[in-house]
Amino acid sequence: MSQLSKVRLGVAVTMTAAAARMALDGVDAARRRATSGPPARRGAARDVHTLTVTVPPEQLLPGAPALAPLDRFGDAVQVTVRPAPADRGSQVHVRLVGPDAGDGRGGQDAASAVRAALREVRALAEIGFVPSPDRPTTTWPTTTWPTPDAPPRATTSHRQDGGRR
Amino acid sequence: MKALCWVGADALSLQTVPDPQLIDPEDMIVKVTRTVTCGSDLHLLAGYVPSVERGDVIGHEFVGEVVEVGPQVRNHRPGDRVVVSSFIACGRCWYCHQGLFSCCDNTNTCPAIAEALWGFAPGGCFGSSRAMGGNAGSHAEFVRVPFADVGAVRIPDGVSDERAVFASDAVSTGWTGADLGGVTGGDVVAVWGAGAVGQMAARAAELLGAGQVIIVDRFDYRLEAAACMLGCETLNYDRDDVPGELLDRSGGRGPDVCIEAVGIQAHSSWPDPVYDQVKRQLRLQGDRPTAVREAIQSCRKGGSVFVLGGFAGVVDKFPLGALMNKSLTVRGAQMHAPRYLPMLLERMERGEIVTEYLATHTLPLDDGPYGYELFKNKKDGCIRTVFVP
Repeated sequence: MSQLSKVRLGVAVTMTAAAARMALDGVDAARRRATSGPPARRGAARDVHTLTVTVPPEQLLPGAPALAPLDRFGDAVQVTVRPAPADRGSQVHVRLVGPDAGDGRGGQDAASAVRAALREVRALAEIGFVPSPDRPTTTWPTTTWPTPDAPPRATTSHRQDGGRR
Repeated sequence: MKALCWVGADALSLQTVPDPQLIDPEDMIVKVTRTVTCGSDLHLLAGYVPSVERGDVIGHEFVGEVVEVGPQVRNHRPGDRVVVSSFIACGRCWYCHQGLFSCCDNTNTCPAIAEALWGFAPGGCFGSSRAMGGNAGSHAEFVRVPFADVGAVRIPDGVSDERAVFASDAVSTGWTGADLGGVTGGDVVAVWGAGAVGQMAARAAELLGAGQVIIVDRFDYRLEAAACMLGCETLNYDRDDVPGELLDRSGGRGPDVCIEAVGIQAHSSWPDPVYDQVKRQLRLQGDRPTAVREAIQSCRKGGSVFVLGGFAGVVDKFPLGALMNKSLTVRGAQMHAPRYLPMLLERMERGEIVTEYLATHTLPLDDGPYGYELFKNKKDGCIRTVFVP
């Protein structure tokens, strides 16, 4: 076998081994994805959400302006404010008590809505207003298809779950 | 106004976009006088960073003149010459109180993407993806600066725009790496990447008392600039055995602090590029961690590795065994500029930090696409292209 053929054979063996290894890695990754996390809770929306806010609990008494973003949930949530450990502010706990919390769609949508409201609570308490994104978000009048940004754009076209309004 | 916009993978275009306006009470409008290309723009430009949209204005490293301030801005007035931190921070959340300004809880107006990617969202950044808030960038005639009193600092009269502009990101980022990487007197420090951030990390290490600084790259002109302007030792990884040289030059112990200033698009030699690219195409890996691997492998026992380069996703073949068994500290960060800006500007005024040589090309904003072509392809000895809108 010529030297060149040996090199080619070596490269081919190396590439085949690498491809096989990557395929195994892929199977392993898929297996990990399929089995990770507590199965019973997988995909389930959490019904308690907590955020630490860097102000003392006295500034978050019932009726405090900073808690206003949670008003829209009405009786669908229970709000508890506790001192954070080591004087690090306050912990705001929000428990969803019904399936129709938030925008009425329940489940993950409600959980997202509560998380977004908690972020607004934190902003109001810490800085006095909810920061606004730049306007307009883009000057381009078309969708981004076929670039891979089309799905994120759809996701971020509304702000209730953290995206832009 | 005119602005340089991302219009697709590896495509930029000068567009006419609406002027920015004051929206929140702590906003300020700045007329941009200098704005710089950055390596992290290249990740964005190439499409490695998710959730960038066509028409987004890029750029995040800039200086300018204040033209309008919101009702709650106390430290600035129209006419002030300011340098602005690339990351936006509120100054009042828990993270800002810890000095971790780029981790600000309140300035990312689009946190859901980052929370899904990384567990928590960092603060907002100018001219980046929506994972970083989607704020309009600085490659424009004007830019809206939220939380102006926190992120913008008045430039001393003795510091030129040409020098101060790099305090916005490159110098602050370099200082973050050397400071939080724990550089102390007499340390041997190795820096991967001789771009502007790597060189400023090396300079920061020198100013923090490092006894020996070694910088690694493959472009001789960048290594020569580091050797000439900073007095660093250099290694060219296309010719030199980097781990072996680092071992020899540190007396067989290894560097005390290793700073990675390369990021997602790290270049490497055969066969790693093919392997990493196949893994990336199969969606088994997002980023190329070549320099991080080498830094972890080269670092002395009990040493510190600091990841300054921009990464977005997951990597493969991360040497966890070396990290654990050598008792390493691995840390990373975006830059916490408000923590350092006043001090850095003072050092610039005293001549301890010189940055003008990084601006190898200065062009009008109209030449933005060409400026990025020079920068991306390392043409004509380009370290950084500076635009003058």
